[in-house]
Amino acid sequence: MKRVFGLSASRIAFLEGIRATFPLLMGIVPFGMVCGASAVAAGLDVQQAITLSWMVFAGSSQIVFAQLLSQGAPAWAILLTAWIVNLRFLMYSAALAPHFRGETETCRWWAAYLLTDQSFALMLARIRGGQPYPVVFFFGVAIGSWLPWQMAILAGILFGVLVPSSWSMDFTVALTFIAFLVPVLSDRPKVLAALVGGVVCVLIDLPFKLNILAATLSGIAAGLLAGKWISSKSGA
Amino acid sequence: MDKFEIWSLIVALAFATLATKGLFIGLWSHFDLPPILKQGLRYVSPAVFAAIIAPQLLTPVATGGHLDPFRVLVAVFAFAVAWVTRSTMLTVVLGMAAFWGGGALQV
Repeated sequence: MKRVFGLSASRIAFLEGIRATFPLLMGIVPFGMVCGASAVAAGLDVQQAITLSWMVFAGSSQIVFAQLLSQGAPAWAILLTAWIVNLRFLMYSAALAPHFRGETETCRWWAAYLLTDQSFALMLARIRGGQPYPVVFFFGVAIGSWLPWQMAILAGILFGVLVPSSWSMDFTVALTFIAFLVPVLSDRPKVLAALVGGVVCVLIDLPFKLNILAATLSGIAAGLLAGKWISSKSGA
Repeated sequence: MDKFEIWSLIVALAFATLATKGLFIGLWSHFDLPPILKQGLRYVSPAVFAAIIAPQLLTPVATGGHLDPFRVLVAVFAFAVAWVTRSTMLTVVLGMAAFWGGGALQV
């Protein structure tokens, strides 16, 4: 096995994964704090907020969970809407699965639990760049971002407990979601999906807080139609 | 909602999320989604994030559901910041600075 400074190539890949999280911390820390603070603002106690964060480990769905809970939505609507926010992980799972084929079941399920937007994006980039040991690299990124995030959650919970809610917590939440929305607007059908999703959610008023669900389905339909229309126009 | 219900919901969401993240990585690495579902999944993120943002911006709880042009303006600014910097930190910090700064000026 080739060794550099006494480290095997796979160990190096792991360390490269950890190092890759450093520039990401600028995004992970404020987001984690917003998640922790909004959980407390929604009425979850400290124990529930902490458990939510390490059990689910998907920040945007945690925020939606907390908000719908505080708005008095029924349990099934909360679960369904929060889960839909996490549907993009199905896409990530499908994209990365081929590269986990040789791994043990334990390895694969830990990888699944640790999956985030960032670890997905970085692992995919490593694979496309043809660099070695993408799985080990993935774990470096995932573990390297899990710990700071959970600590940010704790800080956010503390902040949320100490600071009064007059500090416009909901606008901070809106800002973090704006920060997430922008990078996914990578083509015009996706922009249309966002526009339709946003407009429908504001215009309709469904019982059981199903606005988000209905708006998301409308946005997906609009995106699919736009995508089909564009590809039929170009004769593809 | 009582504590037991909340805990049950947390656990349920955790299982549902893990199942989603692990459907292909953990379970079916040889299975492939039908193309229409694959295509549709691409639009989940833009649609759901926009669906979450829009009511909070246009009919916020803080103003009792009335349109607040100032909020919309700050949101447009935040959008521009996010577009240019692709940084969550800068978007939140600059956005909140504009929000509080502008709010102070209004008063």
